[in-house]
Amino acid sequence: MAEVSVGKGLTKGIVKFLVILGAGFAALFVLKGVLAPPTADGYRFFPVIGSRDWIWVVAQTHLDFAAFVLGVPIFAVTMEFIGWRKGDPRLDRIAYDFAKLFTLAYTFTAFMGAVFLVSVPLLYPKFISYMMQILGYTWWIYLGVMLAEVVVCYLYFYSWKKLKDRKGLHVFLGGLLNFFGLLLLLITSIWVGFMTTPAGVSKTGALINRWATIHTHMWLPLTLHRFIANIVFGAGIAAAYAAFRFITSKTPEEKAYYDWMGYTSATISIGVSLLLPGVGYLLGVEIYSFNEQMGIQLMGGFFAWLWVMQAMLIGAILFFINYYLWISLHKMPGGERYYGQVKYLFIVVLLGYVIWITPHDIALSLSEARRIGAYHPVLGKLGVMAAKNTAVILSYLATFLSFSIFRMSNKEPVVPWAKAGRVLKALIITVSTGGVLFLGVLGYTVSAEVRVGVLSPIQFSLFFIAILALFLLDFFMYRGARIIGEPRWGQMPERSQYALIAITVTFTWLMGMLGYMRAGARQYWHVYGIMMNKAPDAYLPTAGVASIIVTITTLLFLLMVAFVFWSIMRLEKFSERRVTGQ
Amino acid sequence: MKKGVLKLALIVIVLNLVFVYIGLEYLPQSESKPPKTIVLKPGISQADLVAIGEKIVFGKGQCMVCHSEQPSTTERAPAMSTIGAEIAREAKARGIPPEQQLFEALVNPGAYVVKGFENIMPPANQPPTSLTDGEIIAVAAYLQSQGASVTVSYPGSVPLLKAQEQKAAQAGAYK
Amino acid sequence: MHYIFPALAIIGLAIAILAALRKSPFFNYLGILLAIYAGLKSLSLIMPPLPSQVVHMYMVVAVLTFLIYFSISEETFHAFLRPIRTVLADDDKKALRVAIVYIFIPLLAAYIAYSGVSPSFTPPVSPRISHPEPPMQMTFKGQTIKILGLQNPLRQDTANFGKYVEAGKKVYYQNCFFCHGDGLNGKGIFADAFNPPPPPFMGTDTIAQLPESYVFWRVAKGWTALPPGSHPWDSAMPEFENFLDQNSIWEASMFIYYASGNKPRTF
Repeated sequence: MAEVSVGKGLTKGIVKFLVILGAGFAALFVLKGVLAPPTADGYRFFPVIGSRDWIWVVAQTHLDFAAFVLGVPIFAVTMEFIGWRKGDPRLDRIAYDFAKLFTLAYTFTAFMGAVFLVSVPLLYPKFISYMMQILGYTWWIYLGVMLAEVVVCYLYFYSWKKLKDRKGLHVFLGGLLNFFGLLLLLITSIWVGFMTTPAGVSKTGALINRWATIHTHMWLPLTLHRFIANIVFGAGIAAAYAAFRFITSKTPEEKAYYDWMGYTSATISIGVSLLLPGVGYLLGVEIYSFNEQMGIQLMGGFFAWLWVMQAMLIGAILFFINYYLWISLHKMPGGERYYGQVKYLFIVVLLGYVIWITPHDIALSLSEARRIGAYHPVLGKLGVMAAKNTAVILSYLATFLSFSIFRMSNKEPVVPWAKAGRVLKALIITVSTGGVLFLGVLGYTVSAEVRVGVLSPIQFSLFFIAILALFLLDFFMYRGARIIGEPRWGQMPERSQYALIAITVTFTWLMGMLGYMRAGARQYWHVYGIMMNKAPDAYLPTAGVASIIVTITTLLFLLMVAFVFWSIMRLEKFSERRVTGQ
Repeated sequence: MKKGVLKLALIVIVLNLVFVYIGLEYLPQSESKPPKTIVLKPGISQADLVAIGEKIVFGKGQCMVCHSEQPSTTERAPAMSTIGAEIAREAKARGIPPEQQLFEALVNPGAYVVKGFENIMPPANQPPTSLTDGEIIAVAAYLQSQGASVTVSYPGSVPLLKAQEQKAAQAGAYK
Repeated sequence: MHYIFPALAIIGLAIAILAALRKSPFFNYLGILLAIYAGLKSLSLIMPPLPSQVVHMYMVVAVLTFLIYFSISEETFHAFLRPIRTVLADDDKKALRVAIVYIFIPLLAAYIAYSGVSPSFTPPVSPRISHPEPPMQMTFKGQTIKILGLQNPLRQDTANFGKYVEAGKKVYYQNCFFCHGDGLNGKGIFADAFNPPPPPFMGTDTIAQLPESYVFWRVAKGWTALPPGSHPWDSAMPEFENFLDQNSIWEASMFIYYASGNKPRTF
């Protein structure tokens, strides 16, 4: 981006924000006058594709961008802070690059937000006027916080060079940015929370308790879930950016830097994603405690098969990251010592994936039913939770081992107990794998209650204890280790970068699908149980149609992200030329 | 460099196509439609009432989310196939007419929970299902048809139903 | 005909090993895929065949993941691509290229088109539940029996165990053996008439997975009590409450567990 003064950059940002917002409100005002009045039920119809699908695409794209611009600052500031304390200029540069990304992405977020802002009140006037009546004041607070966020964001980015010697102040600005980001997240989750798990209103929708309309069942768990997922997603996009720059850069220095950036971002993304199942569980508990029917419908009813789809997607993500780490071994001097082990890790991950997607009951043709009968031993044994939990845990363990092998592959421990340490490491791996397997097999012989209530928690804690022990062991064993050679950053085949892109694409798709499930839990209600959706497209589409729309949003989002990447590169070229005076 | 970017775009598109393919080919395809309000003709025959009730129980009433059809070891709510007999038995035990037990269970389910079950049922006349009086009577007729004789009628049973609704509202069951 | 798939699996394995020795990852890949496919197919020799949809799914995973595996190392990947490159570019491979473009691809297209339009008489596939939830209670000739926690009363009388098994044997051979077979293997003289076939009792997959109360219910109520998800019309099991008394059913159950070397599930 062009080097401009803080004042100029800030003004640009505020003007941009106000222009987009103003254009949105103007369009709303004009279109309200021009368009035909809504139907008696309170609907207008979007031409050709219908209101529901239009809002779906716009909202999901906006949400993807919002997740990105709220997620990236969290670890950008963290890295700036670490870089500052450790005096590592490389960390400062990566943080600056992250800041570049989200500052530019803000414009797109605001743009999609404005489209959303214009579309919803025009297409669903009655619903929106009800929401404004209940939560309208939060909307104006939201706009205020939004403006503050934009100001801080532009200030943070444009003052980077200027506050070089006053890092403390600059990091504080970054903290402020994340504070406003969290506020935005909390406010938007109020609306979704109220729509899905309403409270504080009578059954006809009249306001009873203002605080209850905010503090709904879903509000905090949803915010937490979004907060964590935003980091995962933001890091994923940052990894995709690094991959894109890696492929397009020409000098070895650039390649080395972007290779490192891709690795760092992917590690953050996958590492933080370990928290998501737990947070998702909290959200599920809240949905069940709001309304059992909604919980059952979501987990085992209409949406049951989308969870199978989720398993396939997460399995694919695990495979991609392992692939990336395995290729990465080649750039580590000394990495060749570990090639042999990749084979076994591959087999573990592959078997884990296969078991994970094995169905228990499957559609059979008549001739197959004739030969198979009522019961198939393979599906019956592998298609149950006992097998699946075990498979997932072992795949995750293998992924962690890939990661730890990669990190330590260019080092040779020098501590006197190195040999014993190696034996201990092998012991931990054997014992944890054996233990998880044993408990998994044991799970077949006990009742479901014991399996879920006792064995599975032991399996999961065994996994967490094992990775913690391995991490600590590595930490102490490789203290002051002899370094065989520095990693040859940048010496990676392009294929490895495709794996990073694939992770991002899968994450985006997964987010689109889970977003649909979260919104679909309301079924044919605007506000569940209080305001019915009487529009003609108030039904839940088939899984196929849903995946088509999720794909459209994913491609649309990635297209715009590609444009962001491209503009950054153009602006960089532009400022380079200015610096060299050409 | 150009080639690299093109390959990259190809990866993105192919991956998305794979996901759509899975969504279209491997997952079962069904839609979930919002329900329509059913208007009953006064003096409708009991057989028709039961037939309509069955449709509501298995459809817009969403009863089968928690109730199972056959009695089973994992049931969360009484099974449908024997529920008429069950209601008659409970009514006898409490010494009230079976219709009263029936309508109370539908519009004020928290007032009396059968032993061994938890109080998880939402009133059928309240959101999210919001069944009309006629629909509730149809459901009641269907429930009675499962193991007992049908005694409710439309609009004959409306006052009985209204009385139960009023009682529930006074007890504060609809908040 | 039965042994074509095991044979193919061995051929695939041989190709894979030979290719690995001669450092030709591409043929190694093809060999592995062939071995996996034929291996999955030859499972039908030792157990019921895998449903084709599952084989399809496993193969998609295998094709993609092994492709990924062979592209991990730079040298391997180059060696992997070499046969493809030579076919596409080398001058002396022109005949092969022509054959691919003008013979193999059209043949493949013709096959796909043919299998797409050729009429088939198989009904559409339908999902099914293998083991329906055991019911809470049932009626036996009008008498209500609670199934949850139901025990075989004859098993308490351990002194007469042999006598009951002997009686159960008689019951079995007078009633069950026509379908479930002489060797308790589901291959009775009528078995071929049913679709799906009657389940075998040998092995650890059927009765060993079930509590004895489930067996009692299934024998007593037959196909009529199966819930819709299990397709009652896919079972020909008669309602034996009409032909046997309770003790006879329990005796038969004791016999099939005893003779197949299984024990009822007790949890």
